[in-house]
Amino acid sequence: MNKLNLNNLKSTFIIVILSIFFTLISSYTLAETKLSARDIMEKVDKESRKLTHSAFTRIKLTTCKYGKKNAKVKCTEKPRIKLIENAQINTGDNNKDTKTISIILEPAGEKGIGMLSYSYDDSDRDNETWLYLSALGKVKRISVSNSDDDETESASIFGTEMTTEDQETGKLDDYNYKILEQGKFRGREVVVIESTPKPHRLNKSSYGKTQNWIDTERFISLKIQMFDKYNNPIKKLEVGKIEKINNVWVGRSLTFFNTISNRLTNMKLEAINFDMDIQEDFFTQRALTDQAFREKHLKNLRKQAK
Amino acid sequence: MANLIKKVITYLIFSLALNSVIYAEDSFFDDELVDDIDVFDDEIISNEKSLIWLDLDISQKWGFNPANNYSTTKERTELKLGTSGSIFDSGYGEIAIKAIKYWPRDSNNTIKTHDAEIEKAFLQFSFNDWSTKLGRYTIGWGELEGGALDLINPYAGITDPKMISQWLLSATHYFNNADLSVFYNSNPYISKIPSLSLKNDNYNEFGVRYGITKEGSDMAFYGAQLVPNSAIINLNDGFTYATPYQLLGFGMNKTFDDYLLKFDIAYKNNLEHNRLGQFIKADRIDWDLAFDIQKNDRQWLISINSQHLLDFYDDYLTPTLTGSINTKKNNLNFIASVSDKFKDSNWSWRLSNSFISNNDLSLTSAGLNWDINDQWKASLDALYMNAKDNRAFSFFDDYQQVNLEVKYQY
Repeated sequence: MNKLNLNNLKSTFIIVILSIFFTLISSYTLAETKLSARDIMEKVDKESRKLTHSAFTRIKLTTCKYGKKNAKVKCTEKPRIKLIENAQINTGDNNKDTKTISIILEPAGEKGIGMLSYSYDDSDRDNETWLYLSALGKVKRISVSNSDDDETESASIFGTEMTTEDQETGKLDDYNYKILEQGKFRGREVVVIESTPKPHRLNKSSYGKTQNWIDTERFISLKIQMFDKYNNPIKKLEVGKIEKINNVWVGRSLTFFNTISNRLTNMKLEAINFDMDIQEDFFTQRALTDQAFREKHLKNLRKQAK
Repeated sequence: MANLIKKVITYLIFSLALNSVIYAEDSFFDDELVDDIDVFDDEIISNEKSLIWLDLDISQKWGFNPANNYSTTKERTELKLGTSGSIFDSGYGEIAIKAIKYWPRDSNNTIKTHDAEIEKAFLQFSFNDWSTKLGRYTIGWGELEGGALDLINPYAGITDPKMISQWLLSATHYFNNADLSVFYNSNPYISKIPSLSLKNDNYNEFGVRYGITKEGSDMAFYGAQLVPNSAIINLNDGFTYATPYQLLGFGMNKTFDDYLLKFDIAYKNNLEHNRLGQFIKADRIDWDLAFDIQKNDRQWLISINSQHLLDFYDDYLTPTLTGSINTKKNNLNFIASVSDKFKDSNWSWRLSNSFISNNDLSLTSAGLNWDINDQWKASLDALYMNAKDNRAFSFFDDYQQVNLEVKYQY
């Protein structure tokens, strides 16, 4: 009986040791990745550039105050809806800069308002934004937040919860990256990477750090959590409806949650087209003031998109 | 042994399951995806405008005078109908017609009960590097609205910041990071006191602007022959005049962190002016410097505007509604305004204080906007003016006005 117990104890001990070994091995396999956090972010940046490579999109921006009902997020007021046509190209060295033009189609009170943005990869160059106000018949340059004021956020895009900083690409050298976790998230293998702005970037950023849930197969963000400079979570982005379009993984529904104000903006890509023939001269102030020029280009893009 | 292997497999499965549980329980991975279908109702998602070609705007406006028991000064309904769209391959057109009904309590009702105007109507054609635009529209010159160079379209009045569109012909040639534009106006709008006649002939306005866009800054050079937006009273003969003057100008903006610096300067030649017993032509340098400061939703605009008469004489006179006053060599205006939202609500506010003409007039205004939804807006404005006695704006002393507007847009 004692011998039996001893044998049992021995076998149990071996099993426990083996279990711990395999558990550790399996954890180690998940923790080990051939790519560093920076390498992964470079891949994500490369993938995101495909989204801005000669792209023409029709976007619906829906903004509302939200709350939870039956454990589900719901709008607690009638949402504001903006319908926007947006064109983007990559320019500059290695196509790492982005030029974007967005025109509001709806609502009626904002119809015709246009925004032109240049986003530079080089951290020494500040991004630029111009707004066309049809009532004044002129283009106004917008001062994009670059100050070291802790309380200042980047400029909101058309009054939504999205800011110009949320749309930025590149400037990878401005951040330190580290892998926080790896595992399964919404059925996908993901790695959670924390991006902390370097001191010179921190002065210009609304965020003290961001955590990015990255699909390690598709190199697309599934979720981004933004923190303020005191380490408090202030905003998050949820990416849904991920589809492969023209060999590019695209999240067709992006929801920005401002967890301080309890407001959200959902950006739904109603139509998206890549590799369009878009001339660079479309991304100038002329496209804001010269409606005939703008419509001619947009008509051409709509035709290509069909 | 078989039992051992069986147990090992069982424990392995258990440990792997435990491993998954450890990951699943981690706060990084326990989140649920929020689907927009869940957040928004279906009818909201598919709520798109059916008559996409139609722009409709209905406003009901009321104005009250608090200084006179809040008597109604304004009660009018405005209906604006418009449309816009492409014309052939290279053209674009836009039209907006406004009809106004003045109700019996409106101060305008004694003169007319209704009115209609073309607020905007233009055709624009674009070919290669050229663009032309013909019709009734506005052209904004200079960096500061209402500043030293913003002279082509007059503003509705000291209490109404709305720009009046004009019949214009313009053409623009586009270069790399630059553009050269010219405009022509055969019949410029001139405001005057209704009881006084405009004596001079009709003059044309024309001008040229060369704009350059650089990283972090825009600048433009201007040259023009313009007609004053308001006719000048000749104190010698009692008629009003609006004869052309020439302008050379420069305007620029530059971003500094959150600040946008705006600067305009204009040399104006042959501006009509009164001297004791004479109606002369004078030269003037106008400039303005403004800071546009954006902090989250709060926007500040701080500006200083100067009008400096060259070859100044002590007997220079400025006409007023009741006679004339001595002109000062230098005229300074200060404006500070701020607007913001109430936290994250649909309400916003604005506050503005202006010191006009060396503080001859102090103008304070406050406003409240309610952005009810995408179609409905409401606003409440209050205006108060305090003017020095025996100066140009003394007529406006203790002027008070409260305005309420409800607007529907489709």
